[in-house]
Amino acid sequence: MSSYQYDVVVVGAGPSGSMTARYAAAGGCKTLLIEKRQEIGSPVRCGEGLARHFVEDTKMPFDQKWVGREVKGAKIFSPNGTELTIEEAHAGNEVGIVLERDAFDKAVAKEAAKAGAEIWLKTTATAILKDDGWVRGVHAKRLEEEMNIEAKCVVAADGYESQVGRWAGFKTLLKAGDITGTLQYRLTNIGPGHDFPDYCEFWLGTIAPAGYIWVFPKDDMTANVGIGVSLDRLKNRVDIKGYLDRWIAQDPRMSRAQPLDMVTGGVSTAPPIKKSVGNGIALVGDSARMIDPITGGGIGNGMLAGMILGKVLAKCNEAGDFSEAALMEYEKGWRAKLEENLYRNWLAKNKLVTLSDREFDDIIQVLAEVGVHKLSVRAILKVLKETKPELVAKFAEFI
Amino acid sequence: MPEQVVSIRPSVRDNGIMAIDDMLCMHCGACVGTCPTNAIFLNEVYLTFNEDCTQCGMCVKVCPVGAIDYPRGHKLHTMK
Ligand SMILES: Cc1cc2nc3c(=O)[nH]c(=O)nc-3n(C[C@H](O)[C@H](O)[C@H](O)COP(=O)(O)OP(=O)(O)OC[C@H]3O[C@@H](n4cnc5c(N)ncnc54)[C@H](O)[C@@H]3O)c2cc1C
Ligand code: SF4
Ligand code: SF4
Repeated sequence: MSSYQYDVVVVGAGPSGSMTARYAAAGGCKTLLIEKRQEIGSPVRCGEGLARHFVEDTKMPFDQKWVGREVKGAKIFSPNGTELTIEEAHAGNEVGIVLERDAFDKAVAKEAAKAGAEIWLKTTATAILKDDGWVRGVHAKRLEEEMNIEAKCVVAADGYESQVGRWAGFKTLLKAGDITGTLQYRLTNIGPGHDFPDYCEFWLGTIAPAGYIWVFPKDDMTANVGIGVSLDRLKNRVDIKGYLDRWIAQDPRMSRAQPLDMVTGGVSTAPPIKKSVGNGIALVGDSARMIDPITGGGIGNGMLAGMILGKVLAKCNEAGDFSEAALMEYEKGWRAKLEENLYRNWLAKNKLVTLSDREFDDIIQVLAEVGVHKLSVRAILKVLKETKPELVAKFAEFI
Repeated sequence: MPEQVVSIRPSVRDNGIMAIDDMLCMHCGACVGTCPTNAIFLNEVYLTFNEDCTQCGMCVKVCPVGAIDYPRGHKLHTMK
């Protein structure tokens, strides 16, 4: 069996892993990025919505190649069809750009390569190497070759499945109420209406229990049309598909629409995990449950955390110390940026999922009348408290 | 009247623990990240279940395309 030595081995070439590899390599770590698929970014498993600021925050060189469409903002629809429009300047984390994610993931990996990281495709981590309370690397299979990849630090960036972290003993288990099953079609030949294709749409209510339906435009007749439903609201096999198909069937714009692709996946809507680092290991992105519990968006948070982690790894490498204590700087760093928001949105989500269709209708109605200038849960609640306090009694503690 | 012998879908692999329909599965990993006992193994195009499974059914419900079912003979089995 072959054996290789690196300072850092990153498992998973999604946006979180590639961003980590990029900053670790740029900081002088001998870095290897392994990916089990044969092509980075494909098949796409995403709605592809990304707020512009994440691109700048992580210093991703802008390239029109990975932009599907730029939108003017977001529209939120209540169950009775009331429409709330929020222009881009005020929209939250998930709108702005609708990506071409296969191209985008490759662009992030390209930055990692430019910084000096090696990339191996068709290479699957199948176990971790452990010794004396330390993670010492991963066991992997690359085409026919079985190997040990020894590393001073293993980065678990393996997405929702989060196996690497679990092998190392991290508690990335999710409760049913914090799991969302998702299905999406890329539909084309969509007709006009609701200002399509200028806004990302979010449809609320029992059409998607404890979740929502999204329509993210890709071009003037094509969009990612998807649904997320919380696992604790699902009763039978294929319930999710039933919900989405029924909604599409009743939207007149979709009556002649046809699918170009189909996407499924799991999304966590969980509070931040208790611990993301150990001796010789760190978790990042979906594998560390960093997805926003309200929107389900995880690209931006994962990249931001990856950048922080990469920089910390470079420091650890200089100091020759990849212990849990040294890696705590990463944990503190991502918590400072993301934790409060993740936790608040998780609490707020747990209240939102208790709202009835009537309550959604009333809330969106009020917001549409008074106008919303900032798409944040807190800002919205404040507007409501001033106009219709009885509507937000459930949320008193957040205001 | 000839007797009907087999009536399972040819794409379904049922290992007595749980059943997976290979023609439905999108290999997305939603079930893997959901399973509380880590009993699902997936390597891009092949999925199977091991003895750690408690038949809790979380994977059956979370699978967006309904590719997982309880095994044949189980009272909650629904695949035709
Ligand atoms: C249907 C759907 C819609 C979504 N819509 C949005 C959206 O609009 N906006 C948004 O921001 N987020 C969205 N998300 C979430 C978003 O896709 C994730 O948050 C994002 O992909 C996380 O990036 P990551 O790098 O952490 O993980 P991933 O992108 O999942 O990357 C993990 C990588 O690791 C690889 N891997 C896994 N195991 C191994 C192994 N053992 N060995 C080697 N490689 C391995 C995988 O092949 C994969 O390439 C959506 C998710 C779904 C399912
Ligand atoms: S959730 Fe369903 S489609 Fe996705 S990998 Fe599991 S069985 Fe396959
Ligand atoms: S039934 Fe439960 S324990 Fe068994 S594989 Fe599915 S999720 Fe895991």
